[in-house]
Amino acid sequence: MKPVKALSGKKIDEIDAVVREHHSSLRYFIRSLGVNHSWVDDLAQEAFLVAYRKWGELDHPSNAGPWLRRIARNLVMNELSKSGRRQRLLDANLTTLLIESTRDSYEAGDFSDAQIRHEALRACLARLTERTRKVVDARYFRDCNATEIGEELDMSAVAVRKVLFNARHELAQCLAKRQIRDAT
Amino acid sequence: MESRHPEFEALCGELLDGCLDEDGSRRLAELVAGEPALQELLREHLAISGALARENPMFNDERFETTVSTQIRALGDEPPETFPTRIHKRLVRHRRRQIAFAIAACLALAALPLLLLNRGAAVPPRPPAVAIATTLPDDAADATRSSVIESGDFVQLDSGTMRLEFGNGAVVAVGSPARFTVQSAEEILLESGNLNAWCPESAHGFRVNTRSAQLKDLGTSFGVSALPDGSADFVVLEGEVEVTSQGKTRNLLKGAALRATKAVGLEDVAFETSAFARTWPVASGIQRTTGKVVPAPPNTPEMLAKHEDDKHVLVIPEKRSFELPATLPADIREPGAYGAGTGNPLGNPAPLKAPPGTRARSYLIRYNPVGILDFMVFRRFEGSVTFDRPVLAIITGAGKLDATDSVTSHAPLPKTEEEPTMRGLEAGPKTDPDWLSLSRDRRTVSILFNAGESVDEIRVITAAD
Repeated sequence: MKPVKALSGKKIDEIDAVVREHHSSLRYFIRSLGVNHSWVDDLAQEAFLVAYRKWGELDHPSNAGPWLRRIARNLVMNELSKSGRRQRLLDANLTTLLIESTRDSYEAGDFSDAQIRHEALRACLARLTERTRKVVDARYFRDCNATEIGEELDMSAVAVRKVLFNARHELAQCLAKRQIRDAT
Repeated sequence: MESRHPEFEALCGELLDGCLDEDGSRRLAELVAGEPALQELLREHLAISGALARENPMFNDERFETTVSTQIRALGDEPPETFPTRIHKRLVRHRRRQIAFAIAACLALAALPLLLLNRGAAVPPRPPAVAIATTLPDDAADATRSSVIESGDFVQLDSGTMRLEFGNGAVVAVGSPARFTVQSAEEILLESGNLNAWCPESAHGFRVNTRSAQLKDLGTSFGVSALPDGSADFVVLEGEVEVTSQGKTRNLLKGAALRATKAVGLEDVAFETSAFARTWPVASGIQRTTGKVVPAPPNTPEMLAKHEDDKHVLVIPEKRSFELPATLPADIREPGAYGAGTGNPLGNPAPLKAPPGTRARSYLIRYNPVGILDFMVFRRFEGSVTFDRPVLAIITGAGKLDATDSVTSHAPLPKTEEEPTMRGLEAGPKTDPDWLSLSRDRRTVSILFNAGESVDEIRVITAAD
């Protein structure tokens, strides 16, 4: 084993730049494999650490996105085999399906820069109706579940989940439109 | 909203609310399996819910960037053996204590054998997951099944075709009936049956063992056919493999075949690929075809380019993983119907733009008759092909096909004396028009070719592995 050199300034700068550029899309990707939200950041950190250690395998920083997603996909696959750690996944069966159907690199063009920017998300949130916004706020900013939100807003839990489902779909469409608009 | 699926919506809502029970989980998996559109929808909801949760300051980006940066500085350049060494030392101490306990336990066992008779043995740790398996049923109406394959798993495949996607990028398709063991992330023991494998650079060295010989990949696409008597045939479709039997090693190049038997060892045999007619398309990313559209017979790229067939439109795999140029000429980028009676022209200025490093895969869907049909004589072909990756673009114009040959094709059409425009799809007033569609999930291309004297052909670009 060769002695390890002190941290290379150039390498650290490069990885810092890659973290800044890709962490949002990487966390987005990990979450879309059905990883429990509270574990998404842990797995993303692990992926960046693996990437740093294998930095020599990356031919060019511009190819970092697909490479990071491949690393993350393997890490999530590992989670499936560790029965004690399946709590990190919302549902192991679904994650198996989602991994199977996941492409290593997003399609070119429209989806290649699939990052959800905060500004875009906030702009899209502002377009929701007031009532929908209240439900979303309660679920995602105050961490209430559907039953609690229903009690607060005089709705059934089923109705709350329906509002949330429609809101997420509306936000996804709004973000996609903004991405297309920004790209042109 | 585009597609409503009340049961999916309810179950997805419960999943993200954290209250989905086991029955619901099973049902949701059933609904989503084999339904790419629902998988995309589930992915969308997971991602948006994650993004919304990240709006919480506790998970903000600045905090994350700082944490990662600190972690990399603290651990990134730590020698890989430091952590295992630390753990090893702990384990050694722990083991010493265990040995002491074990001696005591043995004494107890000797004295009280019946006491432990009904105790279960300690559960060994699970072996690592090495591949995702997707079983494609013989009957297209049945659902596909997915599962995780762990190192050491034995599989007896009684029906359908199984596609294994390994973590290192290798893709293996096994046809039923077959018996095999996935020995590790880089090794399969094929007792009987046929398999095709494709190994990218990251999977070079992948091995397929049979009872009579061992194959090592050197960067290639190959097929192995093992019989229960222990003999095995090896064929190379692209690249090179190394085959070893009874201490002798042979390197095998594309277009060549070897047979291994216990009696003779290795011997050259004719290059015969019909045994791989089911597995090669699956290993090549062709999930299903219908009607007059069929996968090309397994062969080398050069032979496929020359292949002529009067009765079918062939799906011919081209380059498996190539880097897209910044702009690739294309005609169709979006799902929908194009051509005759649709209002959407087959030819459009719809170039595929890709950031550097984006990789893709290419296929030709081609009607290339034996010889040349008479002028103004048309044959009608209808059918579809479903790929295992989403379609990024379709090229229908002769000029664009010519322009993309060098990027996408191992072996373009052989040169002829015909006009260069005698390929692509017709949309002119003097010909029966062609038609095609791309499904909403971007995986299925359906065609209606009215083939005349020219080659009817389109190129499909999909996402890469």
